[in-house]
Order: sequence, then structure tokens, then C-alpha cells
Amino acid sequence: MSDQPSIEQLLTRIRKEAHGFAIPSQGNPARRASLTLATAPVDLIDIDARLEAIERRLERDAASLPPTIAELRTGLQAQASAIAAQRDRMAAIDRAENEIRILRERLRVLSLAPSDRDGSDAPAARATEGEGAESTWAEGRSPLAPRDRLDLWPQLLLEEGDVFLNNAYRVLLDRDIDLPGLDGYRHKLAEGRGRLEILCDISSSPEFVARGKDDPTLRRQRRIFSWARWVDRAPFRFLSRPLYRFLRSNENGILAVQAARVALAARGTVAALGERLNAGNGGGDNAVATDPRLDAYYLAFENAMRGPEDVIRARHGYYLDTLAAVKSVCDGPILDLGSGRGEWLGLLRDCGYEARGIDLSPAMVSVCRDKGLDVTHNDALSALRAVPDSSLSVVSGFHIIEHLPFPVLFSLFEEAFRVLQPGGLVLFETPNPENVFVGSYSFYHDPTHRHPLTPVTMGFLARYHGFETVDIARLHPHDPETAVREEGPVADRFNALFYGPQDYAILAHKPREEYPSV
Amino acid sequence: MRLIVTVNATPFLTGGATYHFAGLVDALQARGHEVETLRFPFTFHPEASIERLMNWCETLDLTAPNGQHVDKVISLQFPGYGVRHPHHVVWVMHQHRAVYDLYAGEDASPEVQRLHDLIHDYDKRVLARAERIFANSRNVSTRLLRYNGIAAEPLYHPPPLAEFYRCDEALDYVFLPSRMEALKRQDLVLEAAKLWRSPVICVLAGRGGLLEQNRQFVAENDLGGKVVILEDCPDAEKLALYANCLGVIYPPRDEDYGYVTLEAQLAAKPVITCADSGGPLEFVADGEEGFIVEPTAQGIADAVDRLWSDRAKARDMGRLGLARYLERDISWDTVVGRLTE
Repeated sequence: MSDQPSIEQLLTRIRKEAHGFAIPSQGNPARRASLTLATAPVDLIDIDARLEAIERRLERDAASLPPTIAELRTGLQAQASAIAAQRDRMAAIDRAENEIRILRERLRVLSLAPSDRDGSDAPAARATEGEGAESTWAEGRSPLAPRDRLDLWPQLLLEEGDVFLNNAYRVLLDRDIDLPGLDGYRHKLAEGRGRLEILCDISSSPEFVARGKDDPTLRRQRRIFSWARWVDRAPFRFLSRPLYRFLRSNENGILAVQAARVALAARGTVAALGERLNAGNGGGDNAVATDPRLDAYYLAFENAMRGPEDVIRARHGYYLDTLAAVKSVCDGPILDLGSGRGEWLGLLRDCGYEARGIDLSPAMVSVCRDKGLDVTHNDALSALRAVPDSSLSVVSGFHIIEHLPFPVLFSLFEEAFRVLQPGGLVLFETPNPENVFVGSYSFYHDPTHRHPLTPVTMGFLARYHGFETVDIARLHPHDPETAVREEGPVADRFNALFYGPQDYAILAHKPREEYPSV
Repeated sequence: MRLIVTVNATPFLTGGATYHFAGLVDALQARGHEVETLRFPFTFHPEASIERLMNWCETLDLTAPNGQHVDKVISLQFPGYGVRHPHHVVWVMHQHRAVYDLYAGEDASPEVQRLHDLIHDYDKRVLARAERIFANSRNVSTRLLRYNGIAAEPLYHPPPLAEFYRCDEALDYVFLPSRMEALKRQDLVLEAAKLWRSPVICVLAGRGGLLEQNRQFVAENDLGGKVVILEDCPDAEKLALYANCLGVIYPPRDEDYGYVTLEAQLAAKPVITCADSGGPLEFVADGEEGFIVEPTAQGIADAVDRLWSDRAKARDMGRLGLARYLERDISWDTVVGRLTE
């Protein structure tokens, strides 16, 4: 341990350092008088020692340029808001991607329909390097981007891997990528570098500059990139991280816009195809489910408003305990009314329950069938009427009863009671109008909704038809972050009214045994 | 506002509680409030003395003593928070830990078992009367919720002399200023000093019941060249020790709040703390503002070696600690605002 500094040397140095700084008071605070008195006698301090200490620090500071606290704080705040913004954008991208997936599916379904037989305008546009390449690339029909079209750079972010890299060269540098460039940027992508960062890198090259063209948005991004690269060196590398993250969040922002653009375009195509299909079928009546245009609209709408399928599926997990209890006394299959995209039926299948569904929308039916689910095209009441007495364990319906006129709803409960086995369950989930936002606002997002149904009405309706142990489960409150952050009875009541559960489910059982006759 | 602050008096036993109380009174007065302090002489033994004080506190009505109107009472400790006032704000520094997290259960003496029941009842009863309840830290708030079912908002305050901390060149020593008591676990640090391989000196500062025992350990284990214990450490020297250290070791067992963590962060120094240290864990994430290690000598020794071998990382962790501290906006302005609103 010979290289260890001696403790005496250390303490001498510390005490000398300590001498150089004024401290308001020393010792036991219980004994001290007040802060203001104690800060005064600066002149009692050894000025030389103090100056010496300050000089030493200045010397060192000049060498390493440590960031000031203010800079750090600003940087961190910017970082925090950038992360929040990024989260929003990621959500927007998820929604848009999901929408695209559904719309593609819809396109496929529509193109299989009999009226689409003429094939006159099949997507036959060929990828060319000349004019027209722009639109074919933008519509995803050609892998090659047009050359020297700087304005198209944001669309590059929709691509990945080598295709992205080559098209980036074409758009930015008016040429195909060379091998060293490909190797270099492949490596960067593999490192996890952002695509926007790579576009900034390419457009920082002398070759790009020499071309004398630029785009204002790209230039702004490039400025962030050059700051990040400038500080990305040994002592203050940690400062560059927030900048790179900022760049990444901008990338997601631009990407979200592009994805939305593609989704919109796809929606247009769907509408056009639907129209043609409709004309071929000789038109339909007014019901949503029989007009393919409205049908396509509703599928897109459902996807946009109802939330991603995996989220819905996870929410449905709530009911599995109740379901298990019912299945312990009833062995009949489950019938789901208005299966939609089939999240619930999928969950039931994965749990090993025998279940089938019906839906009024042919589009929804084909989506479910593609997932291998047993779903037929029918309306709820007719489906129930076709079922024998006391044969089902569960009749379920998610967000369907608010679509029905009351006489139909009345018969629905009546029929459900008839077809259920003793101990069987009806489960209907619907928007909860106890939440003022839901009752007065979001309920009306859906043009096919009739009017909100209150838990009280539904409870009464169930009991009227003979159901017992009628439970109301209030579900899906708003994110507590959005509620008013105050305590007290007014805030509590306000939060309960405005940010409480957005849905509720009525869970009602058919009595297990007939009442003994008196 | 006319305010009464209640707190215990434990003559010649100074520690975090003393600073906390003095800081609060200073801060209230600096913002123009009229403050009277009420201090209850508190002795840990015998158990009957605690019971007497509880009973007496509960009889005190401070609404208008001698006809003098009092706007608000702020209480910091057990059993003083039993006093009565219509606008009583309790900012729980800590409860009587001997009957809570440190309670031995069946193994406790009959007197302590009896006290356990009395205090649990007392806390539930008197805290329910308070207008608002804050906790010194999230750790204290969690204990209140766990043991008494009481929700208390954590309200952090700055350590004394917060505005005077500075960061200077890191020399090869680690620092731990703390009272020498079993819960602070200096023994663990001394054991660790035997194990770390880097040429790092260990500076302990503080007095307390275990001072002699720790001295003896240093002598017996021939650690004279590696460990120094400073019994007397004036504030200026403490600040210099913080400013120049490589890092701070703070391994207490389930600390309520712990100024040391905050002081280290004010000096932009990384903190080595333990997974069961309580309060410090609210401010340190492993590998970010310092290291969180298992409460073993080897764990601490390894962390010291890591600090020494990667000084750039040590410095970055210290700076991150300071930046996060500033983000939390821990200030007497905030505290006084919340307590008097």
C-alpha cells in the first residue's frame, strides 16, 4: 500500500480547502442564532487561501468546460418533454399502423368480392426511373425512390434496412449507394442509430453540400445532429445523449405524419373499392352492415376509436374469473353477440372454452373467420331465437346493447334467459353514462349508437326477466394522471363524475334452481 | 400567520431531527410568520414515561392558549402530534419506530408489547384528527400506510446549508458523515475497508454510542493507514470533505429520509447505498446516481473499487445526482407553501 496518499496529507489539504470558503454558521444548529448575522463576516476569512482555491478551480474549469447547472437543468427539462412527446407519437404510430393493417385486410376482402372481376385497373404500374416513379414509390408499388427529389425525404423514414439506405442516396444525392457507404451505414443501423440521424449524416457530406440544394426541415434536424456529434466526445459525451434522443423523437414525429398520410390514402382506396362493390351488388339498404362503404368505414372507425386489439383483449381478461365460476356449474357453449374483431372469442378459445359468435357486419365476420374463429353473419335476436332452451353457459355482448332499439333489447334479455342453463351468465359491456364525459360526449362518437343505457335501467331489466345476483362492474377509469390533482370532497366528486369508469358491465345469472313452489 | 411548531426535546442528542426542526422554524420566520415552538422532553426509557407524555399531549388544546389566537399548529413527531387544534398539520418526521418497523413482536418485553398496542391506537386516533398529514419522505409515508392505513403525502426538505455545497476535484477517499449508531452501520463500512483493493482512504465523521467500538476495530485490524475517524467535524470541513471526495458511502438500515444522500448530490458526488437502506433509495438508482449494493462488506468494497477504477463514470453519476436533485425542486419555499396553504 505504498502508493496510497497519507491520511495526514489528505486532512491538511482538506482543512486548507475548507478555510477558503465562508459558511454561515458552524456547529450545533440548536445553538446558532440566525442565518443573516452569521453570513456577514467574510473579511475574517483568509482572502489569499480563498483566491488560491478559486484560481485553481478556474484553471481546471477552463480545461474541462463542465456544463453549468443551468445548462444541465435546461437540457434535462427539454429531454423530459421530448420523451413525453415521443410517447404520444409512438401511440399515434401504433394507431396508424394498426389502421393500415385493418385497411389492408379490408382491401383484400373487397378484392376477393365477386364484383371485382374486371381487373381493368389492376395495380400494374411498373417501377420506372423516369417520371411517374414518384407516385408508384409513394403508393408502395415500387421499391425504388425517384432520384434527386429532396422534398420526398420524409417518406424515406417509412422504409427499413438496405432499401432505406439506397433510397436515401437516391433522394438526397441523386445516385445509388456505393459499397463502402452501404457497409458503413448498415453498421450504423445495426448499432441502433436512428434513420433521421443517418439522413442528417448523409446530408452533412461534402457531396450533398456541393449539390447546393437543401430542405429547411432537414436543415433544422441536421443542426441538432451536428451539435450532438460535436459534444459526442470523451468528457461530455453524456450531453450528447439527450440530443440524439431528441433527434429520435423528431424522427418518430415525422414518421407519424407519413404513416397517417399512407393510412389516409389507403382509406381512400378502400372507399373507392367499396363503392364499386356496392354498385356491382346493386346497392343496399340503409343499415350500416349492408352498405359496404359504411361497413368499411365502421371497421376503420372501430379500429381508431375502440383501441388496439391487444389492449381490448387484455381488458377482457377481467371477466375470466367470473367465467371460470360459471363454467364450473354449466357445461354449455358460449355465444357472443356482435363479435367485432373477435378479441373476446380469441381469448375464450385460448382459454379452451367452446364459443361462437355472430356479427351483422360481413367485414367483421371475415376478419374473425381469418383468425379461425367460428363467427356467422346474423343479427343478435335471430341468432338467439335459433338456440334451444337451457343450452348455453354464457351469452355475452361487448358494446352492442347501446346499438339496439328498446323492444329488441327487451327481447334480447328475454331470449337470453330462455337459452341459458341454470347458473348461466349474461354479460353485456356498454359505455358508462355515470361518467359525464362519456354520457354527454364520447358516447356520440359512434354514429350507430342510439342512447346511453344506465346501470340502473339495465339492472332492472335483468331482474325483471328473472336474473339473479345482478352485478354492475364499473371499468376502465381515465388515467389517474388526467384527473384533478387536489384533495377534498369537491375534487373527489368532480373526479368521480368526470374521470371515473368509462364502461360498465352487467353480469347477471340465471337462478341455479327453480324456487320451490309455496 | 401565527404558528406553533411542536417537536420533542432530547437534550444533547443532536441529529437529523434537530436540523429539520431548526430549518423549519428558520424558514417560517424568514417568510414573515410568527412562530412559537413547543418542545416536549422525550425519554426513550422507561416505557411509562412515554405513556405519560402521550396522555399529556392529548390533553393540550392549542386553539387559543391564554386567549391568544393561533392560526395553525405544525407537529413533527410522536407524541407531540397528539395535541389538539382545528387547523393541525402533521408533518411526520418518523413514528416511534421501536413499536413499528423495529418491533420485535413476540420477543419484545411485556412493557414494550403493551406500549405497542397503546401507540398503534394513539397514532390512528390522533392522526385522524389532523387537518392534513405529510410525511418526511416516501419511506415514512409508506410505513404510515402499511402500519396505520394512513395516507400521507411525502414532502421533502433541503438539508442544512444546502446552498453552500460545492464540487471540487475528486481525491482518493470516500466519505461517510453520520452518527455512530447501529442503524447507521459504520461497522459494515469498516469491514468493507478491509476488502477494497484500490488505494482509497475511508473518512468517517461523527460521534455516538459506537465511536469507541469503531476506533477499536480500526486499531485491532491495523486499518490506521486506510481509515480515519473524525470525531469533531465543523461544517466548513464537512463541506470540503464532501467537495473533494471520490464518493459517499451511506449504508443505513431503513433510514427515514437521510440528509447524507442529498448532501452528496448537492456536492455532485455518487452515493453507494444498500438495497435495504430505505430513504436513500428514493434518490439513488443503481448505476445512475450511484450504486445500490447488497448490505454486505463485499458489496460495498466492490462498489468502492468500481468508483476508483472508473472516475469518469463516478463523476457523471455525481452530476446526474445533482441534476436530479435540482429537478425535484426540494426547497423551503415549497415546504412552507404546502404546510401553510
